[in-house]
Amino acid sequence: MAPWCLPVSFLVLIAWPSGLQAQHVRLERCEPAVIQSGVPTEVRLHGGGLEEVVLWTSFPAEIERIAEGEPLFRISTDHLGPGALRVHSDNGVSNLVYLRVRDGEESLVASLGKTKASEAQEIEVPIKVEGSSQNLGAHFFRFGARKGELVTLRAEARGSDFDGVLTVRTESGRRLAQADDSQIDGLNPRIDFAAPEKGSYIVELMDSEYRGGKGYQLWLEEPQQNGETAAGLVESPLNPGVEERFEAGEGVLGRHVIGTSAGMVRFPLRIKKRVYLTLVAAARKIRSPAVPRIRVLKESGEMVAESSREVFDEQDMQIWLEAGNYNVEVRDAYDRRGPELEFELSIHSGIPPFSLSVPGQKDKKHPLIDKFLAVPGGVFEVPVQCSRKGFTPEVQLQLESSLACMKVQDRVPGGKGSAGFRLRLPADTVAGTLHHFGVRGFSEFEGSSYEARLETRQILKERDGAVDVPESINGLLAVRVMKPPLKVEVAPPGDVTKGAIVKVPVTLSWEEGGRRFSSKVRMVGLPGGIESGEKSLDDKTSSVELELKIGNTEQVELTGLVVEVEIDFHRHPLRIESPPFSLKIRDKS
Amino acid sequence: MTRFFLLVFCVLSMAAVCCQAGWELYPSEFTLRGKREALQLIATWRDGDRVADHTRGAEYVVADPAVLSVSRDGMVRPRSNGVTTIRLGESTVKVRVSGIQSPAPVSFRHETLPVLSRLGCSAGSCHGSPHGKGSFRLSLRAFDPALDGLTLVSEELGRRTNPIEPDKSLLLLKPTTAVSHEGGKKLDKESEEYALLRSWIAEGAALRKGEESTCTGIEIYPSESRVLHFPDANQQFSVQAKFSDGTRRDVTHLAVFESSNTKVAEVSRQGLVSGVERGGVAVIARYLEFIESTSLTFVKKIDGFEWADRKPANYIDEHVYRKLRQLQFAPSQQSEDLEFVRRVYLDVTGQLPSAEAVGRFVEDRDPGKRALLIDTLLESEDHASFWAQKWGDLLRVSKKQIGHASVFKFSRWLVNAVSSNMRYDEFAREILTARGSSLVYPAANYYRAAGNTFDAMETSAQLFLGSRIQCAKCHNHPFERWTQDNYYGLAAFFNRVERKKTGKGEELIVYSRQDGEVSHPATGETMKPWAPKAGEMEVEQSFDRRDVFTEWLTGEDNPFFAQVEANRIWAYLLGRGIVEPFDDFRDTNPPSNPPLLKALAQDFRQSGYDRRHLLRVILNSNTYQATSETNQFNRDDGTYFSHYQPRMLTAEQLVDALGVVTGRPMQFEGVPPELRATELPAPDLKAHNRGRIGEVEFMKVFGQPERQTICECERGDESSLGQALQMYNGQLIHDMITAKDGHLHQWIREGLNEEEIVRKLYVSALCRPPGDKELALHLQYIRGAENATTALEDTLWIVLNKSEFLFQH
Repeated sequence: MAPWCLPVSFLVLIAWPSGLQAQHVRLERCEPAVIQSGVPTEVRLHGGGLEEVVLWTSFPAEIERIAEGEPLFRISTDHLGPGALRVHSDNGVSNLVYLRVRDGEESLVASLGKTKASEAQEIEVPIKVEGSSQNLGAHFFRFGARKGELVTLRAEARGSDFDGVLTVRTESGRRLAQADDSQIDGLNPRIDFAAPEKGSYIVELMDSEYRGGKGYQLWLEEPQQNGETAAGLVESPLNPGVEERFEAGEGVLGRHVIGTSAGMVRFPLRIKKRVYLTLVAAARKIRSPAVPRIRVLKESGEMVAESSREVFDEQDMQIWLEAGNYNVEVRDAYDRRGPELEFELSIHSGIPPFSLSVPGQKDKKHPLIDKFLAVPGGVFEVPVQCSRKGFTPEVQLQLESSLACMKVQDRVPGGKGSAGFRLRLPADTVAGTLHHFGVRGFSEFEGSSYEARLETRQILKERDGAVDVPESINGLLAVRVMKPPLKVEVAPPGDVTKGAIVKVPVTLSWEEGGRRFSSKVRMVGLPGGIESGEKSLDDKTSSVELELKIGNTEQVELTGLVVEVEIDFHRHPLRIESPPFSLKIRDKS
Repeated sequence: MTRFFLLVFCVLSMAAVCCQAGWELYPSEFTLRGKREALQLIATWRDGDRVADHTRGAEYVVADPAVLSVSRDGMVRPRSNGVTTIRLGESTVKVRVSGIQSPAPVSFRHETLPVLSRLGCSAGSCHGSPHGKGSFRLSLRAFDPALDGLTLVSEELGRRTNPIEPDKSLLLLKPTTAVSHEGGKKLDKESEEYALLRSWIAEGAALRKGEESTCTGIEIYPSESRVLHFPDANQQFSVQAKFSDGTRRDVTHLAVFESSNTKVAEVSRQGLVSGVERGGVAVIARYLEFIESTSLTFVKKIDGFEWADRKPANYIDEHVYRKLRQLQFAPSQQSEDLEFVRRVYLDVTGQLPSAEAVGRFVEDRDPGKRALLIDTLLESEDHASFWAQKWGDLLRVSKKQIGHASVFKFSRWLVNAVSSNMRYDEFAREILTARGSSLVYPAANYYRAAGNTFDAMETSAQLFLGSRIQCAKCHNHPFERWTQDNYYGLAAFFNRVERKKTGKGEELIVYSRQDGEVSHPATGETMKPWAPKAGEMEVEQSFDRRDVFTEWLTGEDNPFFAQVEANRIWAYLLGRGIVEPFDDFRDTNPPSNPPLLKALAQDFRQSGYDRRHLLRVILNSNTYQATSETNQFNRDDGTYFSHYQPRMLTAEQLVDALGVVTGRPMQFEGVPPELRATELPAPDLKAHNRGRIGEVEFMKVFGQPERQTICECERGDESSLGQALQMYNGQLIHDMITAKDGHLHQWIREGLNEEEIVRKLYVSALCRPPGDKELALHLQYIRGAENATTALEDTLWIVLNKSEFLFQH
């Protein structure tokens, strides 16, 4: 590929305003959504108007169309990391969809959508198949196995509410196994299959309600070993003479059984100093039918905390514990007892007592707050919500990015639940580029450090109804660098008197022929004692006077004052600043 | 040695005594207190195993007639205080009479109310209905004496009971029609009942007489089952009531008697049962809130009947043959292969066998081929789908009840349960103790359909105890021993079940709270969990009460669990339960063959509640494999399984059969096109199209249930005019027959001649080739027709409208 292709591709992909996307060419998703670096992979696109489209990628790649008239391509790339796809045709340009390029050994193919067992798609173990379910039907796959060979088959939804039903049959159609839901995985079917004979077997995968178009992932893999790291099964007696004795901060590995005698397992716990603990009693991941419920009691027997009585899923418990001795009791939520009721208890002090996110945006007319705009050298603000769990100290925010942004405001004040993380782009950032970044929060309290990454999984689920948000997308924010559409000119008065209200004229010089936007104008960088209001302008107004109220201040000169114009760029705020200016402050006399 | 000989002597003596013919008088002794009391004697002539009732017409000898008299119907009435005996043959009754001079006042509770019940005044169709009749309301069958007392004494300005002029009481004027009475004449002025009511009123219509003892129960005599032989097909019954003060009173003249089957026997108001026809019947006696029953079997000598011994295939045949022999029904011969293969395919898989399968079976000379075929069919997927659908009917698996997503999940769960031959006790446990997400744990949808405490309890009782307990919600059950207390006690097992929507689509979470009680609506009493035979049960606070109920339900001490399912499976295969309807177990609806039911239940339990095992045993029996053709000695039998009972194909079976024969299977909305009717997860997946006026749903016409109730009766099995019209003129049939891509037209295109086509149609639809005469008639018609294709379509129409096709036989 020619060297100039890459920036051109970026420019075309990124700079093309989303408002101009073609009406008739539309991308919904691609399958698979993850491809392997260095491995040519067939990718099928889904959407509308995709008959004769050309595929672009946001990363260097060789693209080959496989079938005429069908949106089926082969992509080869050495890129690693998140990427995006777009298509275009005579009918226009589509929206972007994500495609991740990863490094891995897992073989990944697209489903060919075979709807008859006689035409089943040939696959080999291990494999991951991505596809979309067949309306009023099923997809069929064929794999071979030796006699006694163990294969784990499982299916999950992929960006959809696919509710799978997996069936394994012989070539002659006799059903050998079927799974609708696995009690371990919820709505996802799973079959641990042992081939009775050497030969071929048919896998049938369909949606539980026979709905079509639901994205799915199907794995055929060798059975995983259960991660037993500690000593095997231990039935812990109820007696205080229990072997397990541990301190906060250590995870407790190994399994326990809610035995038949006591119906409860007790763990003594000694806390040296106030700590925020996370307790998890897991059963599903070890395929146990137990539904553990946790209670924390003081040594005196007084209950400190108890996990919810309405137990439908395993729950972890997060709790502040003061220094002292405690007992952690685990029992089955339904008071069952027996040798099959195993669970794994872990206690961590690493999970921070706060979490960070950006605010949700349920109104789909408004974009989700995970994309930002800024001009080179300009400021953008990430609204950070801080959910505190009995934790009041200040949380410092840190940017994770290759960009050397300057932090203008970088903390969530103590006790507050939100703050704006203001960042300034380097002046030499190239307009038209897109930069991904993350945000981390740090805090210290009584000698312990806590750290949390800003996550967006929950709001993505709420907004898009997505069942599964990949970890690579969770917390991924982006800032697009824009060429400033206007200049901000300020005519400062020069000298001002204490106690006076001064008008500061501001002029917005929009780019010739460019579109105008409504805006808010304000002055930033004011010290205490100096106040200024904010003015809103429509897209026709180009000048305004800001009022500056000079209060009682010690300062004699204000420097580095800036007028900030925040324009509503297609519902995204874009801030453009004036050149800094100064004001001298005189006494009244 | 001496002891040994003494023992032998005793045994022989007893045998001798037992085998001797002689009279038995019941009771052996009794006390009559007061002029109003009476005693019903029962005189039985016993000759070996045979008994005959001769209560009426026996020559009773009273030692001292001044003390008492005995009427011709065996009723003893006191005359004066004293002690005397009544003798009949070698048998005597000692009777003590007291209290003649100072007669006790009439007891409102123990005499007045029972009389009103006996007269039918407090029946549900009369004044015992919820709103009463003519502004006069009594509690149903006197279960609420306080209410009845208020109604009789205080309402209507006291005109109902007039102690000053008792004969002018409305309570006497109305039923004797001295004033107009919509209910007609119910009371004779000369009757004992009139006298008793009048006495009660004249005595002041007291509602309580001092410290009155309470009735604690009743006994019926004879209590053991009896076999009565025509012409001596009468049996007098006696009812005695036990009281809390230790006394017993004969209440035969106050009890209400009923027969469970008046076609077999009728019972008079005086408790005399008269046989009408051979067969079994339960006789029920009711006094106050107590019910007792016993069973009688009437046997008639049938001219020309001779029992031909035949080898039973298993214990089922032993029990069935024993009963048939007793009642003199001759079992039909074994079915021919062609009859059997069609029948067993339809019963086990819901599908017609293919022509190839029929051919293979008929040609197979293996003597064990029937057993082999049964095993093969029981292992098939079709069997799992078809029998899961039956449970779908009972569990109300429908979109309306449990939602669209859950319909598929629950249905699939049922199919897997049948396919994996899940133990029935485990099946019941999974359903009754289901908890969690209705999407992840499909069995939790049981509590979605049974959406509240009482629905859950009534459903569980009907499905797993075979009891229709609903009536006991408002009053004691009129036909069973269930009381209102029992109803609310049983409900206490289910009242802590909670159902919570998660907001994720249709998902519902079912879980059990740790608190919450059921209160009796009348008394406000907190009801403890109660189960039949087990009584009130203590349940630990932290336990899920459903676990406790299920443990009792599936336990060894509960006789109902295995019986109900064994009976249900029997009914599905034989067309009729041993208890019929199969979800209506009660004393007043006895099994037609109690030892058979007991044996099936025992086998079922011992097999580990293996339903496939039970199916196998039944299907391999001669009883199941008997032909549906009757003989002169079993033509009248519809109860005792002397022959296979033909019945209409179910709606789903019929639709699938039509599809197989015509080559145009019906397709259903919302499921893959190849899905058959017998695999449909629910009957209401298709959106109701209000725009298509007059659209008739074929399967609904043929009885497909809506799955809105748990009653097995929701699936219609009666033939109707609508069905006939559908088969004669219906659009569906027409389209199937005339379809160009159907079998018929395909055969025509392939060049098959008329005879070949007719043979194919017969084998496909009826699983047999046409007889010579049939073939000749068809060919004559086809060859004489102007248009051979139309004539062949007519032939197909004829075959589809034959009873032989429409019925399972």
